[in-house]
Formats: sequence, C-alpha cells, structure tokens
Amino acid sequence: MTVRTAIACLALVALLFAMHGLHGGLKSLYDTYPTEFRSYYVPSSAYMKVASLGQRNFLADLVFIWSIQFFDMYGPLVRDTYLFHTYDVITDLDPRFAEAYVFGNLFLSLDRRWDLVYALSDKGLAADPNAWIPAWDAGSYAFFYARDYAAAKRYFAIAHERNPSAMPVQKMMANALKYAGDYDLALEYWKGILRENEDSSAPHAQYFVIAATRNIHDLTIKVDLRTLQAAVGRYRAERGNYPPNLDSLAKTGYLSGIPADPAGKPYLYDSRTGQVTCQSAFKFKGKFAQW
Amino acid sequence: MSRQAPRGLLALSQMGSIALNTFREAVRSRVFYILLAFAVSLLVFSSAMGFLSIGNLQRVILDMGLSTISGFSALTAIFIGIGLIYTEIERKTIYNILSKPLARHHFLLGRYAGLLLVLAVNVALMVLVLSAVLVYFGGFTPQIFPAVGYIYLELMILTAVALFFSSVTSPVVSAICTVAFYLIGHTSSALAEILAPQIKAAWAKQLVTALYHVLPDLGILSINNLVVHEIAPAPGFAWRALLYTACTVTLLLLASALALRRRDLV
Amino acid sequence: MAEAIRIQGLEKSFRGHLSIGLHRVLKGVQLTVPEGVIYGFLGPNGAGKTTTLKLLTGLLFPDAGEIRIFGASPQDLETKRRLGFLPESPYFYDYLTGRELLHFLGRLFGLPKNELRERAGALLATVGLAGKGDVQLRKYSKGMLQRIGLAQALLNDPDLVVLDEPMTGLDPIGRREIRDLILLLKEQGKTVFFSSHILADAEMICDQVAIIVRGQVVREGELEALLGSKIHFWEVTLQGSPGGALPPGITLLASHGDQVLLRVESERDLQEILDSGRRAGATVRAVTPHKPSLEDLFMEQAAGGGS
Repeated sequence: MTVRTAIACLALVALLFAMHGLHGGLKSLYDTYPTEFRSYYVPSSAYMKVASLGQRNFLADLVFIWSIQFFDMYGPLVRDTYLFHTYDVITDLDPRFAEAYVFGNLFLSLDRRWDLVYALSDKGLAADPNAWIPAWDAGSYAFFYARDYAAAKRYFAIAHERNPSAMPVQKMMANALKYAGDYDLALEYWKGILRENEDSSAPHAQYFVIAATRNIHDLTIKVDLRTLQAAVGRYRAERGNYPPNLDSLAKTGYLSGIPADPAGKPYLYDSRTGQVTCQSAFKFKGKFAQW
Repeated sequence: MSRQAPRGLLALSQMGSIALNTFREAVRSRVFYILLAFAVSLLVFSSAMGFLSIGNLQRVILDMGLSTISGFSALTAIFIGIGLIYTEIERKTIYNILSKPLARHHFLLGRYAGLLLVLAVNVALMVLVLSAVLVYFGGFTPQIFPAVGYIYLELMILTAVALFFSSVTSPVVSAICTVAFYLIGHTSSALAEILAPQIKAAWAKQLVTALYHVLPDLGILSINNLVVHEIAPAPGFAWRALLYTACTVTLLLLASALALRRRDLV
Repeated sequence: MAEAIRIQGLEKSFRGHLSIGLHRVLKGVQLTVPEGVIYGFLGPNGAGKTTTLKLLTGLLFPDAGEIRIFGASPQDLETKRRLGFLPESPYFYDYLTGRELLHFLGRLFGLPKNELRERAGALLATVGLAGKGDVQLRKYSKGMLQRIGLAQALLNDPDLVVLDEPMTGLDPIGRREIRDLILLLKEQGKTVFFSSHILADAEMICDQVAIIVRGQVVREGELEALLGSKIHFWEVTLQGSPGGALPPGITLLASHGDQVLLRVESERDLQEILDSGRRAGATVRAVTPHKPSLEDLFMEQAAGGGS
C-alpha cells in the first residue's frame, strides 16, 4: 500500500467520524423542537388522492397501519390537530374502509370528542348506504359514554333501518328510546324483541327474552303512570281540582279504562297531591325506577 | 425466388417473427428479471404487512398485491418500451430489418405485440404468486383475475405510449415523457374532481374539464377498489373499458406509424 | 442492357446537432449501374458513400433527385425483395446465434422453414462460418460479423447485392474469399454494388466504378476506360552499369550491390537506356510497365478537390 492510499484511507475514516459527530449535533438540535409536532404530519385529502397515483386503497391501508402504531404516542395537541384529520384522509381515500371508521371512533372517544365521533360516523353512513356499523358504533358511544340519548336514538334508528334483523341493535334502540323518554316506542320495541326471541333457540335468545320481559314490565308501568298522570292533569286543568279517585277519570271520559299494574294490582292515587304511583316494584333499580 | 405466401399472411408471419424476437430480447435483459424479482418479493412481503394492522386485515394483502402488480408491470412496460424503437435505431440493428421487404408499420406492430407478450407473462407470473400468497394467508378471491385483466388493459395503453415516444425521441426523453403520461393519467381524475369545483371562472372550469376529457385517465380502468370491497363492476363496464383501450391504443399506434413513416434512419 | 440502379440528381442534407446548421452530404449524385456487373463505389471517408447506400435501400429519404432500382422506387416492398444489403459495421442482436439470426431475418422474406434451414446452412458454409453457426453473435470477431452480414444479405437470393465496405475487418485470406464470392455472384447473373476504400480489391474485380468526392460523383464508368491503357512509366532493373550519366527522364530509384532500379518516363528514354546498358555490358533483369492505378486516380481526384 502506497503512502497516498494510506492517507486516503485515513482521510476516509476521519470523514466518517466527522460525519457521525455532525449528525449527532443535528439530531440534538432536532430534539429541541417540541415533541408534539416532530414527525407527525398528514397531508390533505386532495394531496393524498393525487399522490396515490391511482392506488388509493393501498395508500389508505398504509396510512391506517401507520396511524394505529402511533396514535397514543403523541400529546393532546397533536391529537387535537391531526387525529380526526388522519381518519378523514383515510376515509376520503377509501370511503368504504369499515375498520377506519371503527378505530377512528375508538381513538377519538379516548379524547371524548363526541362531535368528531358523530362526524366520522356520519361520513361512513353517507359513503355506504348499506353500512350499519358506523351507526351502531356512534350510537353505542352516545349511549354509554356521552349519555346523549337523543343522538343514541337517532343512530340506533339508522342502524336498525339498515340492519333490521340484528337483535343487539334492536335492544340498544329500545334502551336508547327508554332513556330518551320515548316510553311508548320503547315498549313497542321490547315487545317486538320478546316476540322474536320467545321461541328462538339461538344462543343469546334467552338473554333477550329476560331483558325484554323486565323492560316490558317496567315500561308498561311507566307508560301507564304517564297516561294516568296526564289524565289527572287534564282533569285538574278543566275542573279545577284533582279527581277523587282513578275510576272517576274513566267515568268522566278522560280515559277509556283504568289499567292495572303488570302484577295485577291497582295503581295508587293520592287525591290530595294528584300523584299516581305504582305499588309493585320496578324490575330495574336505581335512577330509572323513580317516577 | 421460392413460392410466396399470400400478402396478408406474410405480413402476419413477419409481425410474428418480430414479436417473438422482441420477446426473446426482453426476457434476456436484466431489467426484466430485476423488476420481476422485486415484484415477487413485495408480493410475498405483503403478507407480513397484513400482520401489522389491527385485526390482521386481509385487505392489506390484496391492496398491496394489486398495487404491486400494477406498479411493477408499469415500470417494466416503461423500461422496455422506451427502447423499443430508438435503441434499434441507435444500435443500427434496424438497418438489417427495414432493408428487408417489411413495411415499417408492420415492424412497429410486431414490436408492440412482442412487448405485450412480455407483459402478459410478467403479469401472469405475478398473479400466480399473489394467488399463492392469498390462498396461504387467506383472503383469496377469484375477482383478482378480472382485476388483473383491467390492469393489463391499462398496460396496453402505457406500452403504446412508450412505443410512440420511442419512435420519436431518445430513451431518456421517452422515459420522462412516458412517466409523465403515467402520472397525468393517474392524477387527472383526482385533479378534475378536486380542482374543477374550486375554480370560480366558468371558462376556466370548462377548460379544466375539457382537458380532463382529452388527457388520458388511466385510473378509470381500475377495479382494484371494487375487488377489495367485493363489489362487482357495473354491467357494461367491461365492453366500455375494452373499447376505450382499443381506441386509445389504435390512436397511439397510428401516431407512432406516422412518426416512423418518413423518418430518416441515420 | 437493363439498368439495375439509376441515380439522378440525388441530394441529401442533414440537420446539425441540436438542429443547428445544415450539413449537405450529397450534392447531386449521378450514376448508372447496368445489370450483371460488379460496380465499385469509391471515395474518401465522409464523401457520402454510406448515405448513398442507405438511400438506395430505403432507409433514408432523398431531399431531391431520383433513385430507380430495376425501374422501381427503393421504398417499394417488391424492390426490397430483390435486394440484399450489408450495412457498414453491421450490428445484430448479440444474444442470437448466427443460425438464429439467419432464421429470423429469413422469415421476414416469407421463406418457408425447411427451405430456410437448408439455405441458412448453405450460406454459412459459403461465407466460411460453417462450424460457427451455433455460437452467439456476441462472441463473433469483427471478421465473423462481416461474414454473417454477407450471409444475411444473400438470404433471399437477391438480384442486386448492395454491400457497404464488405472487406472491412477481414484479413487478406478473408478478403480473397469475399472477392471470390463477389465474382461468383456475378457469374450467377447478379449485380453487385459495393462501396469501399480498399482500392486494390476494387481494381481487381470491378467492371465499373464511380468515384465520389465531397458529395458528388467526379468520375464514373468502365474501369479500363477510366484508367486508360496508356503506360505511365517503366521501372527497369539492370545488373551492371547503366553506362554513363543518366539522361533526363530517367531517375535512379535504388541500387543494391551491382543492381540498379531506374524509373523511365517515356518510351524513347526506355530504348535509350536499354541500348546504353547493353553497350556497357549490363544485363537487363526486369522491365515493368506501370499503368495508372486506381489509387493514382483516386488520389488525383481526392486531392484535386473534386469539381
């Protein structure tokens, strides 16, 4: 090996070290940037559509896989800016990508961004007229977490309409109605559920039967109480005083008949306060059992 | 001179010879094998991609597989296509051929047919590998065959474009132009649906829409998205797609023939 | 006699690099090749020989003028059917073997497979590549490529054989073989038109020649007519003394031992030196007349700046 070659090799090694050192320096500079925005960026849908060069599905997959690796690594600022946007982009690339809607909702729910959950789900419902899962998903979040029973009702209605045979959908719909205060409709639903599952030998049929029976019991009471109370109110408004007893409501034509509670016992009435109550216990306890 | 076959038959036999020769030339080139090897590796790797996503999505394998087949055969079409005519001229092998009683446009058609044959073999091999991967990892659907069929239609157009540029200019410029064509072909629909609605002036909007109709839309032939979601293409799609391809290819081949017709083979 | 080739007023120009400038290659070429002759197309490099040959075979299009091959246009497919062409420094598909190349090109003539097989074998033997038919062309030497080029030019048993520098890359034995082959072709009634700058070979076999300099044919016609039968000078070898001082018109070229080589310009000088030599007792070893050679003619035309 000549001297020249030796010098060249030494120079090569020296340059390698220099390169490494400089790289370290650059990296430490990089570390001073706020963690949040360091390497999370998703271009707009328009850009992605154009950049996909016709392979939109595949790009949707790639962005999806990438996003689920990183969704919990970034702070609230990044998530606030980019989380919905990422799934918006994925679903713009492939509007029928069912998993994107589901997982998008999941991650958004962690931040309790119900408005975005509803927005993403609406998009999924609009994209595919046959899709019921986004409605089911949104409805579930609305019911259990947001306790927005009006929204839950709306979404379960859509889910039921698009997938009439799914029993869990019916059940959730019925519950949503119940919690939203639509007792009559809820009762209808529960009766329907009972009818369908009574003779069924499907695995969870008995569960639905039990749930239906209890709900029908309680809802019947609720509906009866409401009807009776409304009649009492009308009597009072028109005649100026509470009716002496419940039967007088029937006699005076405010009601066609006085029902008994599901156990067969009559409803209790206090003519001083005008309150109608039930002497049989509700099957469900807690807040719902109050009148 | 020995007995002559009838004119039309002779032309066909000439084109056949040229086509086979083109095929032979392509399968002996390194480019062909490198691209094929890459594609096959990617197809096999796509199975690993499925594992990366939540719930082991089958659709990832399918998406990646179809995209790989589409992308790599396009690359093969471009790489081999741009040299089809020009390298013949450069390397002067064309002197031996065109001094024979062979019409220039027959030579062109023969080259085109040869490259189509190469691509057919390419695509067939890749779809076989994809099928094997799908059968093994689950998610096989016979719909990949029509999907690949439509990919092949797109390739036919792309090859004709490469042939056209090869007839007029050097491989470097041909490569740039053909790739540009591919890019435009795949982005024109996106641009039309994104750009046009944002333009306020009616005349500009008209212009962009008109441009979209004139420029090729390669994406329109693809049913990859439909296959993944198990949606069948609308009836009437098939014959329309075939007709569209036939028109475009004829147009391009005609242009190539015209370009080559009076060209001095220096 | 019918004409194999008739070129009149042929002009061709090329655009320069990047379309800058116009390079006029042929400025009005004129020649006639009768059927059944061996015609040499001679000229210095850059004179336009290859351009003319490409125009003959339809690879280029003339700017002006007319070319007729057997009375028809070079663009006609029928014309090409009767033509065999060997390009300059032929290039082929490397990966094919010699036989495969002949098969491929032969198919373009529509030759049936059996006949083609036989003919390919025969041609390989004729050009001296008998054992090399199954070797890939990329392994061929320059001379071998030249030979296979000649073989493919003869595939269709053409009436007119156009050869661009057929002797290039061949050793003297090879050149002899090609010369013999060309003569054989003439015997078969074919017309051979070839370009060359190896004048000795041309002189040996051509019936007619044309000399092209700077895009124009400066001399054309039968070789004998062009060269003339006039004797230019003599070279005389004497053993012994020439007898006295040399008269003007006689130059001493060399002397070796007791032999002298003299150049004698005229017949009168020749008689004089022979007489004086004999008187001086010298023996005449050799008297060689020199006619003007093609080389002389060529040099004269090329240097003279072609009118």
